[in-house]
Amino acid sequence: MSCAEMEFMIQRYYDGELVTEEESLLQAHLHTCQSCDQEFREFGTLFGDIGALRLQVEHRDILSRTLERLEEAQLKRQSDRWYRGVAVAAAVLVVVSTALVSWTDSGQAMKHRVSAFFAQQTQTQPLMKVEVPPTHVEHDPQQAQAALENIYAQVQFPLMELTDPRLQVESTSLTGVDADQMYQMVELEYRLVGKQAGESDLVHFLATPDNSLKSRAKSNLGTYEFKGEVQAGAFRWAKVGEHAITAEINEVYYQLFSPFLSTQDLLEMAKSIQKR
Amino acid sequence: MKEQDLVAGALVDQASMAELLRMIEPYVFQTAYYLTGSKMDGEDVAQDALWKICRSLHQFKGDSSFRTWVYSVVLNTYRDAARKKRRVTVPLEDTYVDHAPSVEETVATRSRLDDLRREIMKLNTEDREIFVLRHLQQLSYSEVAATMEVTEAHVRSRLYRTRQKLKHMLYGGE
Repeated sequence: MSCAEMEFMIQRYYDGELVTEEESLLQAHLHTCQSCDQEFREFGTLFGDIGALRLQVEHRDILSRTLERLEEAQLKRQSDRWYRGVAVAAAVLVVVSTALVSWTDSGQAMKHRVSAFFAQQTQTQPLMKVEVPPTHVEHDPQQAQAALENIYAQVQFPLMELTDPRLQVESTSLTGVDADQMYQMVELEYRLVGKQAGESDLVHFLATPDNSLKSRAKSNLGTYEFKGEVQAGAFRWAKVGEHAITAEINEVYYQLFSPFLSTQDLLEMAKSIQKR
Repeated sequence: MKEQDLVAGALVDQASMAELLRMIEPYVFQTAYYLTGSKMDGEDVAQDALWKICRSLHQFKGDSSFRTWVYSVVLNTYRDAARKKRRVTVPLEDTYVDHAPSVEETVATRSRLDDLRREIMKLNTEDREIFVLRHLQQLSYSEVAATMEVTEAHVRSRLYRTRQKLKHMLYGGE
């Protein structure tokens, strides 16, 4: 066995992976080869030192802080649920009262009680959970435009916009609006206007301040294959694979992807990205 | 108790969640500390990672081991933090490596260990992650591979090369 092969065996020895036969083979070689014996002893020192690096370090109490945060989130969820409960109860009461009015023909007295009830309700109104404007639309250009406006109203990170006139938004989604998630992610689908109908016309756009959310995206690409950085407009974009580009702008990750377009086409569109 | 049961319990019950976090906190912090090479940064990354674990526990599907899943959250949190840090600060300096010396370290080995720590901080991110998981967290090669979503052969070849380099820089005579 060559000395180069022996080096792997030496490392495997210290990993505790050699079987008995291999170990005797190694020992026999070390007796006859001075340079490998030297290697063996040097690796021994390295592995010994590596073992000594493992140490328990005193650190600030991060566990309690996390538990407190968890408690706060839990309380908030409970109160949210309570508000929702109130809203539902109020709605039921209104329906029942209205029904009563139409059933009883006795007139004034009943109507009066109902309006008194409404007056009371209006006082508790601000506590009720406001209905969140819709942000999820699939393949509907008209509604998508309105949903995009809603997304801009709700998004909590600086979301830039593609202004290329050829792009028409037709699907939208915003994840992470509720307190259950730490970060938000915006996913848009654009149709490339002017292209012939058929294959090559959908562009997926993704933006999130937390890169790890990408794995849950609908247009998730899996593993990125880095193909170099390019300037497009005001920002630098990285080509990842043949059909996708990505950039980090103001701590937000953007990804443009289209299964049928080249990175060159996508970079053309990326040039148009700007603050809304 | 089996991992699956622990996770299932933690999803419905706050006390079980606290217990689960208490169990993983030591190695979450240790890993973050070894990766960042700094106690303060390690604490920040560990706290962020613990919170992410609470929040995304429902996404743990059980097709990997729970420990592996936890490590991968820590690695992702560390990578995000490192990327943000890199933009505002200058590259790592030697003083970046602050550590609490263990009692066992004698004066003689002390400076050698300091050198080793410094060299580890100079490794690229992937090599450092592999080194930390394998040697300082004592994961098996296959666990390291599963955590990092690469092949076991890749982990081995990277780590063999790293150790060769470290040995050459620190202990190689010629």
